[in-house]
Formats: sequence, C-alpha cells, structure tokens
Amino acid sequence: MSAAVEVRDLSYRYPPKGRLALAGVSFTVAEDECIAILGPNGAGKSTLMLHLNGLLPEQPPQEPSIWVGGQPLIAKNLDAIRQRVGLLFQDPDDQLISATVFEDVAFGPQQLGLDGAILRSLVSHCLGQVGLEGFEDRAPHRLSHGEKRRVCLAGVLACKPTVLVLDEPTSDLDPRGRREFKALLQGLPGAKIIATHDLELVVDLCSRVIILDEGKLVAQGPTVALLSNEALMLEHGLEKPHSLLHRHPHGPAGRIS
Amino acid sequence: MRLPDNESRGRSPLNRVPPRLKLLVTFALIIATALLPRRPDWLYLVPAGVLLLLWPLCRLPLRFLLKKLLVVEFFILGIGLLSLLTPAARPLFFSALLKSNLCVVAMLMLTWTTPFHEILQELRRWRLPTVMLTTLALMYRYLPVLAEESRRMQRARASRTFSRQRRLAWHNLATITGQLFIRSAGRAERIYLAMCARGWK
Repeated sequence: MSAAVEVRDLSYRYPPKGRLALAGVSFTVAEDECIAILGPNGAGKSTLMLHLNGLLPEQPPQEPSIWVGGQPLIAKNLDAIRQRVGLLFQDPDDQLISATVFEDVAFGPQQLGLDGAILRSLVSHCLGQVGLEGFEDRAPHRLSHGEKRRVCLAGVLACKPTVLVLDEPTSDLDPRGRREFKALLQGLPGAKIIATHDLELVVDLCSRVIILDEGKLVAQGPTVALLSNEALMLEHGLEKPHSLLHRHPHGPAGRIS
Repeated sequence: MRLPDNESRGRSPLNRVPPRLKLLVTFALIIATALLPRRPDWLYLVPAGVLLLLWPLCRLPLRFLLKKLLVVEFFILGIGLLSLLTPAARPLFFSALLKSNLCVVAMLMLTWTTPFHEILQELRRWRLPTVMLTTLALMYRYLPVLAEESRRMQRARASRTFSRQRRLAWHNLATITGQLFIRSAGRAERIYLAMCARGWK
C-alpha cells in the first residue's frame, strides 16, 4: 500500500534569491496517520504546508518531490492533488470568501462541477460533520472565531480529501473552542498533518512528530519519545509539554533541569 | 462595519418578492430617472411616486435612509460649487440632486429587502462578467474584516499616543492607511492561495 504522502528531498527558496525556506526535507505519512510538524516561527512549517497542496512553487516542478497517494505532484496532476489534499489555513478570514456559509462550503465542490440537490445535501452533510447544522444562510462575518474555523473545515471536507493539512488549527481559539475542534479532528478519517505550536494537541492527537528548524528536518519520531527529549525541544525553540512534564523548564526554581 | 444583510433587519413584505423582479424594477427605475430632463421637471414625480408607493412595503427606517443619503449629498456638493460660478449650471445641480437621491433611495430599498448574495446570484444568472461579480462578492465579504483591522490598528496607536498635536494625528492616520494597504495586499495573496487550494482557476 502506498503512503498517503511522501516527501523526498524537498527544498525551496523564496524568489528572487530569498532565504532557503526548506532544505532537503524528506518524510512519509501513512494512511490514517496523524503527524505533527513542529518548529519555531520561521522554521518553514507554513511553506511546507503550501507545498503539500501544490501552491508552492508557483510553477510545479518537472521533477516531483512530493507524492500523494502514490501520485507525483507535477503540473498535470495538480488539480487532482489539490482535491485530495485539504488545506486549512491559519486565519479563517483568508479562507472564508463567500457571502454565506452555504456558498463558502459549496465553493470547492462547485469547482468540481457539483450542483443542485447533490451540492445542497453535500453542504448540509459537511456542516453536520462540524456541528453547524442550519448555518447555511449565516454570513461569515457574523460568526465567532471557532465557528469560522469549523466552516473552513466543512469547506475543506466538502472536497472529500484523503489528506488533511492543518496550519495552526487551534490558534486564537478559546479553551472550549479548542477542545471542540480537537474532538472534531479526532473523529475525522484519513491522514492528517498538523503544523502547530499547541503541544498538548500534538500529545492528544498525533502519533508521530517532525521537527523543522531553519528549513531542515532536524528530528522525527514517536510523539511522546520526541517531546520528552527536553534538550532537543529547547534547542529548537520548543518546550516539553505540561502533560509530559513533572517540572516546567522555567519553573519556580528558574532552572532548566 | 454594519453591512446591509438579512440578519440585521426584520422581514418586510418586499423581502418575499423574488429578487429578479426587485432587480428589474430597480434597474428600470434607475435608467428611467437617469434619462429624465437635465432640469427640475414634473416628470420627476413619477419615480418619486413609485418609490413612495413601495415605501410602506419595505419598512426601511427613515433615519437609516437619511444617514445614507447624506453620503451622496457630499458628492453633489461638487456640482453645487460649480453652479455658484455659472448660473446656467443651476438647473443641472437641482436635476443631479434629484436624480442621485432617487437612484440611491431605489438602491437602498433593494438592498434592504434583498440579501446581497441573492442579488449576486441573480446578476450571475443575467450573465454579468464573472470578474465583476467575484470582485463585488469579495468586497462585501472583506469590508468588515478591513474595518475591524483598521479599528484594531487605531486602538493600538491610540494606546501609545500621548499628545493631541494635529500634525501627529494626521501622521498616524497616514501610517494606518499605509499599513492597511500593505496588510490588504498580504491578505489578498493568502485569499488567492486559499481559493486555489479549493480548486479555483
């Protein structure tokens, strides 16, 4: 069985002659596996997310570095891969573009040629999946941050992706919104790749972790083993999560043990 | 920013009228008003009468209407100044004043009784250029986002402003406007990527 996502020696430099955002990154994600991409700000997480959907580089390469379900990410497969990889952006306002929730969730399926009763039932099914039944006629600018994020997820799910790529899915959510969103993600099938700073979410959801720093993949392994390695975490601008910690590294003693 | 949408208002009898009919009547009224003579004339009573007849059916608050009309009067002032210099242009000023106000009242009554997305759907059926409709839809969606962003920036500026110098206030306004342009450009790029991610071409 082929991996859900395979990345081989992926490098990217922002044009023209910008900094090297990704340098020889390689990893695989199995079907139904949930992995986390960690790293400090500017490590290349968001750049990697955009690559997985074929949004970067602007012209797909001749020689692929990414395979989704065994299919190489090259120009002729771009549409198919964008449908298979559902990308949730960090700021829901970037993703919610329509005047109503219905139109927004329907945006992706409409690009695939869906219309009429099938489209309506798909939209209401996806809104049900994210717990927003009956929100079809609501205006996105009147939703709470958590609701906006869930509408974004419904819009992504409506394209029936096999891989979900989530960029900071819990940032700006209050504890309840975060808890609900986490439960929602837990219940979704398929491979999930989550770029986040929310380490407790990683402990709860992800079986494996990849750490990026300055565009390089510096470590990968099982979540608990990697996140418990305090020296490694601190070296790359991260922290051992509270749930795996008996004493916080910046605790009352003010000493890093 | 308060946008005209269906959630912020009560249902009126005109809300139940199909959008197509409302759009047709509004556009017919606007075109007819625009073609009226360029001087005050009894003919102006015809569109005014139609609007007055429809008025009770749309339940548009008078205060809201007057506030919106004030915005239009600001533009009419330009022509008003011209008419002060040339008396011959005075009838033109009055006709422009009447025409613009009648057209804006018609548009306000339409948008008050028809959700914006229904207007766009109807215009899509009329095969108006997609680029124009997409621009309108995105403008409607992102105006509140931009307004909120500028409010946040103004608040942040105000929290660190300790002087009431007018020069400084203008400088702050210019900085915020510039920042808003830069942020909008960044957001536009992210919106475009998010649209492409869902198959938009």
